[in-house]
Amino acid sequence: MSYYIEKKEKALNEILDRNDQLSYNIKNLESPSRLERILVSKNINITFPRKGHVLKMAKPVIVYRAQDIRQVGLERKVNIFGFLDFFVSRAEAQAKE
Amino acid sequence: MAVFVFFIVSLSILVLRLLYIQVIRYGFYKSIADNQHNVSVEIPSKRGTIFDRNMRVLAVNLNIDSVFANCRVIKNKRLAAASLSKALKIDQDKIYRKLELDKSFVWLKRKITLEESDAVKKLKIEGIDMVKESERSYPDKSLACHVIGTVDIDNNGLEGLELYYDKYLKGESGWVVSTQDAKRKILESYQYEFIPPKNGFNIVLSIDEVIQSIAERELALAFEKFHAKAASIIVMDPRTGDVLAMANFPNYDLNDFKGRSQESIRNRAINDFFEPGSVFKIVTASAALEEKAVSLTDKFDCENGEWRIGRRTLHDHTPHGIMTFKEIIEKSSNIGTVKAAAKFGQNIMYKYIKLFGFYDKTGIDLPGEVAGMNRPVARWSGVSMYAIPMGQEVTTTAIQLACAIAVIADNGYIVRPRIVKQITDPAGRVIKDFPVIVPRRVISTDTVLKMRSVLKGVVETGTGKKAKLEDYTAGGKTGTAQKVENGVYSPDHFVGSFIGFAPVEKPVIAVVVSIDSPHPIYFGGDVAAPVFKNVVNDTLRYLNSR
Repeated sequence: MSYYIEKKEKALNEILDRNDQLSYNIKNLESPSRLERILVSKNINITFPRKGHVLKMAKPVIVYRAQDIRQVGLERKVNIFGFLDFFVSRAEAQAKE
Repeated sequence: MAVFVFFIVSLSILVLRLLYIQVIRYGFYKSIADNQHNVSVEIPSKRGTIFDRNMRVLAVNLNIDSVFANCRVIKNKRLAAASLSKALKIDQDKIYRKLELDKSFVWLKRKITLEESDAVKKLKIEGIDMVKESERSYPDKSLACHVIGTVDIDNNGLEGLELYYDKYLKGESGWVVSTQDAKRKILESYQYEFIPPKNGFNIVLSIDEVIQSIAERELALAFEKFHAKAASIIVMDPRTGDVLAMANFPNYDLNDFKGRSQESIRNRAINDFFEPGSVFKIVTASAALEEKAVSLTDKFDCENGEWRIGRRTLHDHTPHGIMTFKEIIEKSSNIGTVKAAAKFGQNIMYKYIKLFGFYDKTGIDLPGEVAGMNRPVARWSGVSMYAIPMGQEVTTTAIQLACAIAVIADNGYIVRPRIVKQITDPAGRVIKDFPVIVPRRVISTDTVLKMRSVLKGVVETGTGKKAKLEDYTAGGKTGTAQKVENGVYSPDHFVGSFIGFAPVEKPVIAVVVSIDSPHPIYFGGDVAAPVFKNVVNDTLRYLNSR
């Protein structure tokens, strides 16, 4: 049992160490100075976007007006044949509209 | 019969011997057995990770394989050397010479790559094995080397933040008391005592890896172009005191401990002080405006570039006639500045040097900070007021200058620079927070606005035109200071510097660039201002695109 636990623990540590090393290698490859050196050596001229090149979109604000809510409520009430939906699929009903 | 007696006697002797061993000498043999079976093993803690402000890893501990050989066990040494040579990328003869030694432990290669480790494992050579060795690794190599610092072979901090926060990063080793088998393998199910190790805390810096990279790239170009002896740069957020980048040249690779020189390990931005020269005029101008001793439109005669006062003659690098105070700072006239300073006197000058923080350490959390060597007003000489207002007879560090320019960028308040934002435990919970510390107000908002317009003028029309940005407005001040060598001002060696901020309307970064002994060009406006321009251009674009 002890040898089994030890074997499993060793395997786990091996995997964790390997994961650490691979993460480190990725970090190394992503290093800004390294990437920049490669770009320069390949004559690829990349610059940060200038002031006017970046447009920040404001998050859309959804406003529910009381009028709209009432209208939705009315539509629901008007649909007196709603029980017939039971006979047709919803997709078909939308296609007919 | 004789045989029977012989057996009885032998059996009796055996029983007596067993009684002697098992009963009489029980304690003695038990202690020997316990010493062989029971072991206490230290479980080392893992040193904490250092992150930049966006949680990008700057320093981490890795357990890396190292290959060793038990030469006495290896059968075909020639074949083993040939296979290992390919796997470890080492000369075959070199390996063979090591394998030929009559030793049970010989290092073949330490801290190998994952590929090498896999290749060695595939070989399955009897007598070749690997052990894990913990190593501090820095993925960005030389990036922010003076800030991060290094550790020794036992993972103790030696320099920089590795030293300053060693007690947090280090952690505490754990222990396990357990039984081992004949091959010295720990039997996991026979553990009597287990004290788990406490891994070190992680540190989150104020440094931004991208801004640091931009700053180092531009400083390196200037350092090489102007054949400088050394160079430093600090990029700071004036609102919080966060140091976004701090770099010095020469620098070194953090992963190559042996390859560094004495010259390359100094964090000059906080360890070295120098006469600031004309960049110090921001203090004189702020004092003059705050004390209402002069207004921006007051006119002074700049004596066509040469003014004799007693035995001393003041010079301007370009002759000027009558100029307003604003123009004096924009054109960096020494004569005009000294005349303006004469309007408020040495006590006020001293007061503002002190308020701007030039008599004290800034309190940045890095080892070895110096405060410069500035004399109290009582020890100023008769000619001090002809030197100090234009940045002579005073000394500053780059970090002090960064704090001083941040006063103008941050509405008149001086802020303590910080390089560490948080300390977190391995699970990411915050253990210690480092709040923004604003010790005092230095100048009023009214003076700040006036100073910003003056420093904007320096960049737009004055000596700092090479710092003019493409997309944003900037303000700043150039400085070219003669170095003091053997007690006299050197005619050949200068420190060219530029301090500034951007955008002028709402500054988000303050930058100090100082280049030691550039040649053949040495004016701050020519050597340091372009570095400021390129760093600020890219930094603001980067910040804007995030």
